[in-house]
Amino acid sequence: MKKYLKLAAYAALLLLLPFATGLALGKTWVRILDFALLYVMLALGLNIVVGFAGLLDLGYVAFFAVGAYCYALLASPHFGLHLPFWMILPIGAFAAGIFGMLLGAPTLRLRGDYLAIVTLGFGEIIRIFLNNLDTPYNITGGPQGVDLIDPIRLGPFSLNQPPGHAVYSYYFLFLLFALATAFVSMRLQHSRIGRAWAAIREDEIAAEAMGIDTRNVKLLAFAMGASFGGLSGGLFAGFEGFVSPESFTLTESIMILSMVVLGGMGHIRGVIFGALLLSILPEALRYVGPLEQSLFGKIVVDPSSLRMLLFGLSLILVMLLRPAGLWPSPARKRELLAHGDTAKHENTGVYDAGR
Amino acid sequence: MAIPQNTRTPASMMQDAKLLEAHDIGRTFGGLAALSGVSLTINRGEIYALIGPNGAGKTTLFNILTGIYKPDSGNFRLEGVEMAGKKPSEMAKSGISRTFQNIRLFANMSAIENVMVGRHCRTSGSVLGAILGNSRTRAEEKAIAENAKHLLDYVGLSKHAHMLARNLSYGDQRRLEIARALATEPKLLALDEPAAGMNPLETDSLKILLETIRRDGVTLLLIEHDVKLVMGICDRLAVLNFGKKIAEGVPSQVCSNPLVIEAYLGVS
Repeated sequence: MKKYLKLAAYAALLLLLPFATGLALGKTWVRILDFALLYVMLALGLNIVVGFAGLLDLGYVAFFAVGAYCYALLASPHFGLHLPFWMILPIGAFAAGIFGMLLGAPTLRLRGDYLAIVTLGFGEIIRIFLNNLDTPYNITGGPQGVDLIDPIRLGPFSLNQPPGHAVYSYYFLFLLFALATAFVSMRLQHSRIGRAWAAIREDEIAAEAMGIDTRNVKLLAFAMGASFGGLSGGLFAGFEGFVSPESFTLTESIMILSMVVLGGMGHIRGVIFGALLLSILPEALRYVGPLEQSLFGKIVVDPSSLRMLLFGLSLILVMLLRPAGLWPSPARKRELLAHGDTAKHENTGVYDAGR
Repeated sequence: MAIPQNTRTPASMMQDAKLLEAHDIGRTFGGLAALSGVSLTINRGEIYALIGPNGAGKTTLFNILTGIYKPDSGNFRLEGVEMAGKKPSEMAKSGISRTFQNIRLFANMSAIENVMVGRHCRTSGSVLGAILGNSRTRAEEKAIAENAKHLLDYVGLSKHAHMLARNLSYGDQRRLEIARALATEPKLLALDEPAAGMNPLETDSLKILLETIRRDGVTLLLIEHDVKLVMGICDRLAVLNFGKKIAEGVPSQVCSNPLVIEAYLGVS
């Protein structure tokens, strides 16, 4: 009973949050919430690869891009195609999954630093392709990108429809997807597949010797993670109505990875927390400019440079003070406490410890 | 107590006593012939040991039989099925499971989770099943956990089921590795120096465990330096030196073989 009350309270909070935010802080902040939910999905997707299977991926945004461009090309005047979103989202997720396997296949023998370098290169390759595929045939629109993308439509109802209130309808759509993503992550983690991923993260040779086909299971991790990215890419394209290669830079990949690491690799709640924190907190800096203006009469420190400074500082502090992330999984915490004999025995289903 | 998941036919019903037959196995590293022309036969239900001085090729042979290396020449069959060149995961699926000389547990997973991983190749839960959480998947998960619990009990680790593998004592880690390997339902359990670093007390209880496993129908292959343990437990053994088999037979025979004495003690 208490559990249901708690659940109801959470549900009420999530349902009322955008309206409260809209009233108190304005629609810009609801939009920030929308983006935060997209980042939650991306971070959860990357968490499958990095947190569960222990494969460092620095080019994750490429899958976001694949999903976004899939949506953009199949629902805009660019090719004159206007497929409904419930068709395009799976296509985008599937395409991203294929790209995930394309990245996974040649990197199966790589680990750690070497894997990071190849994935970083892969991310850049995708972005550069998007940038240059406007000649000889205009496929991606080049640096100009694709615009006039159809908004997401549920039957006759366009999510852009209540004019000026799109941010609210998208909030609920994204919330639904983010919750579904979290649910799928959780189910996967505590399954036969999730255990195989954890085993590979812990010791690949032993995992293979215990009968896990590491090639297939690693490719599956890449594909699953990538399809989450592709899904959120599609939502992003429908929401923004415009995509261009600029949105898919290395910085973005690093940002998503930071969310995973900062929150607590492999711990779903931690990763969600990390994604919300890193997508919402920096926006508070938009008040710093006016504040400086009113205090000193001029801009002393440029808020945008302050943003990177604080971001770097917070990462360093977290690595020094909470190396397992801000909200690590119980197992990871136990491990860092080192006194194994006092381990709490009630945590039976926890195998999400990082390295 | 029998190993829980065993459904194999009793040895008496088997037509063929030979479980594994290796023929003329050779392997070179660079110019060095680590193994050449090694043939051996392991019978069902026996404890077969592989001994030899350092660098004799024991571990190389072991790694070939478990799929880590591919042999350059020769072949080997498990129950008549050609195995040479298969991947380690396929070896495990076919029924050859192993432990490692320097323990390779999944250190940050609990003991029971380590054993549950061993069930991977005997189960089939898919991504879709995991997401939907249908009754078949749930039943399978439950069976996996039950089985792992039984195996922990079998090796005497049930009270440490939820401890992280890294926090177990050395002897317990060795036992956990054996439980994890048993979870794959091996026909042949290959142990790479299971008694390394153990004190006499731990070695004694390991001996009892190995005999129990054999009694329950699993054939054992073991590499061991502890000659006392080997001679006391194995039915037959082979001695390797410089990549060649120099002797094979029951312990008393092998002990008195002049070639073996020479390999171990040198010529006078």
